[in-house]
Amino acid sequence: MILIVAEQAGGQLSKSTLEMVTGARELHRDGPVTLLVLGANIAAAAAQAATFADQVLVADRPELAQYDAELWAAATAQIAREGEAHTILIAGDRAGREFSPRVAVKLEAALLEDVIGLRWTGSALVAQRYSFLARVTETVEAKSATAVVTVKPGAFSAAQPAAAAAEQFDVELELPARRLQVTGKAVEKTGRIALADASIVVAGGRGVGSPEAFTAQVEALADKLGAAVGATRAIVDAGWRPYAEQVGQTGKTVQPKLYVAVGISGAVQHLSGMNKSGCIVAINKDADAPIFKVADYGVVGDAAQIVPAMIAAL
Amino acid sequence: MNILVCLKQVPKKDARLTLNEAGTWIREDVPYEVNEPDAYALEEALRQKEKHGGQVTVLTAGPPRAQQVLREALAKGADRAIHLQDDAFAAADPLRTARAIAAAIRDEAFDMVFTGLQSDDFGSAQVGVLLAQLLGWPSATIIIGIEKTEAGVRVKRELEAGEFQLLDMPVPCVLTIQSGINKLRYATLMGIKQAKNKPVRQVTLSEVESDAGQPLQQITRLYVPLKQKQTEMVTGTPAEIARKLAELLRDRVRVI
Repeated sequence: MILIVAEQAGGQLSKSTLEMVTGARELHRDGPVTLLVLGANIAAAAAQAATFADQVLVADRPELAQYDAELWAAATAQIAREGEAHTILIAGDRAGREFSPRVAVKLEAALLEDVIGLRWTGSALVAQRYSFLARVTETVEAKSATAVVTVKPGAFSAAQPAAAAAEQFDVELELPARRLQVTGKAVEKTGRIALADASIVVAGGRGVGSPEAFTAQVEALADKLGAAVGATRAIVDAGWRPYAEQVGQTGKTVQPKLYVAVGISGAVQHLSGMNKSGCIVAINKDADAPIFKVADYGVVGDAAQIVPAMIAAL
Repeated sequence: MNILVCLKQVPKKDARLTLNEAGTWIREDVPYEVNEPDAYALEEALRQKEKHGGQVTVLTAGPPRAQQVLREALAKGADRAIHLQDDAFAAADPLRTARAIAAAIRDEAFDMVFTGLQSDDFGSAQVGVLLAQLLGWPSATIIIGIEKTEAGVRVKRELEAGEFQLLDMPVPCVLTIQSGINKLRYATLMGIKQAKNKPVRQVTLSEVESDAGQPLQQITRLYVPLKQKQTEMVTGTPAEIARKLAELLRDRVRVI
């Protein structure tokens, strides 16, 4: 079977989960597409899962109320083994990329990380992924019968629910004791749409000039477009903008339909976080700035004049 | 606290990448540097040592050229180094690398292992967690703060979209460190001199090869896009530029 580890919060499956269902269907491999739903009080999410999968396995236990890498890995590996899963799909977000290596070790399986494409050749599972800070596309082949795959968010379109619901089965798990205790949470909310969810991102860098100019230009344009605000590492380190807005840091990438880069020169590390955006508009004083290499539309000029004019014209 | 920091030597971020003839790996005649998140992992280990005592050991798995990152780390203040030295480590998959490291440190006693959260080449973000699983230790990823506690450490980790979590965890453990957790130091002249006399343990491939096992995955093809985009420059007065951009976004890109 193809085992998909579902992600759920507040009774809803995540978008990544529905994308993985599409990825699993497109493989056309043997066995049912199976969603494993882990958590506490998850009946609603399990019922939703039944409209997407061929079968749903449910582990509804108080110990699973909060995500933990070792618990999730133990549960996934046990179910994969019992169900003789040949392909295990896990969302390529922070949690998934954290517990997937542990699953691969337990199953002695290949681990194809953060894939953007996946196909079954009839004898091997082959994935595409980005490497070298998204400057190279890599084709990698699993050499083992079982493969664990983390799927980059947005790699597939979200599946549509079926009219008939699949059967749900409760599963018994042998879980290890939790070794990490969550003692607190902090949220750096900006009141704006989150970077990861945004279809438009307006981002600024040092070239904007000052924190005040960032507010007047980048934030104002973002407000006009209903966009998320992004920032380069340089100005986050300088304390102009909160860490939550940083784009391009290793591990934090965005892929909106439109990315407007204001006063961003385009260090490789920043480009790796945004160069897969649908359309990139770059505004920079320096005509030789590397950002123009990845831009669809470039403007050489002073953002302090161009951005307010854009806000007026939109 | 005795801390092991795993470092990787990777192509410089702005290095021009070209492929080997088979198209299965990059040509290795490029300038190299230490993987950036690993540099922050080292800095964090040195700071922990300054606060709480203990030793910092640095380790790399790579060809002879990779010794450069160990020398730099020793010059910055690490106490000793371990070099798993073989050309085969340059493109080894994460599981084989983690198994080789686990075998190499079998007789060592570390309280914590730090790695960068991922490498700038493969970017798989696996070796740290794999090592934890192989050692039977707990782990936490994308760490942006570490405080020692009675029983272990309290760490701050980054989740999605501006959310952070505080975790109490026992030692020994593995932590993967986010770039920007601290400010990097430079090696002093004194440090560079002292580094020459610090011990570097060499580990050969044959010592760890049976533990590393067979590769479970293989890169069959790499592809480097020649020029990513055809850039259209928009010119005119600010008002003209603004009007043209608005039209393009509305009519051609259709995002607004």
